[in-house]
Amino acid sequence: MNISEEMNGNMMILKMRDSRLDASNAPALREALIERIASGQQSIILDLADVGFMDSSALGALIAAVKRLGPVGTIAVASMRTPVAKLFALTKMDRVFSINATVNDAIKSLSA
Amino acid sequence: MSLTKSLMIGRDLDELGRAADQVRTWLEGVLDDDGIAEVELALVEALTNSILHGPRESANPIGVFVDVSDKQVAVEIADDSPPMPTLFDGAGEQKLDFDLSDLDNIPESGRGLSLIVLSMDEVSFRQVDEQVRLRMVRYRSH
Repeated sequence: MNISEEMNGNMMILKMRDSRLDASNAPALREALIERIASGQQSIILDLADVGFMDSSALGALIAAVKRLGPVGTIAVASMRTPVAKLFALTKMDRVFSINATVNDAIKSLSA
Repeated sequence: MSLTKSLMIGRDLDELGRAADQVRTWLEGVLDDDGIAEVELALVEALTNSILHGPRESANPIGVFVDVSDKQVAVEIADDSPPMPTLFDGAGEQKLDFDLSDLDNIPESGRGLSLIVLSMDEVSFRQVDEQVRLRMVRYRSH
């Protein structure tokens, strides 16, 4: 799993460097997110600009993370490409995650 | 226009990307970007299902068969599974409807079959020689 990490105040920005998120790397994605939540991170922004494909297994990893976080934290998603945005819409997960056009929008949204 | 292609992949999740990339290449110029993306999603969900839940004892690779005609794109998967005529019963939009206000109620898995149904125009099984194939059809006129 290729992820780069950057902090902006108390927000952690995770840029997904893999172009595909599917069942082959979903367990690693889940572990990467849960690990950061377990270490106390409560505001996470996922930058998906490089991700051209995501399937239901990867989506499941994000759902596991948001459930682990519970109501005290937020996972925001930013810079989704069209196929990924459609997956969120089809599965109605665009109503569970904070969806943002850009990382800067996500930062503003979580700062509000 | 007609095109018939096939590839074999191992029963390994690391093969998903190779299969998807190959099918995307075959469908360039056949479907628009949205259509290709939806076929790719259905293909990957179906192959994941085959790899994770298909017959583990089978020594055969999984076959992916693509047939393009003027009217449609048909993608078929042969994984040595027995006939499962009711596999897709109830799959679809209603299966993706959860109480989103209750996080604990939202399942982490179980969306794959519904995504296949929503991405394709027809989903069925057909017998070819000794094998049952999952057949997923996408019309070219969307």
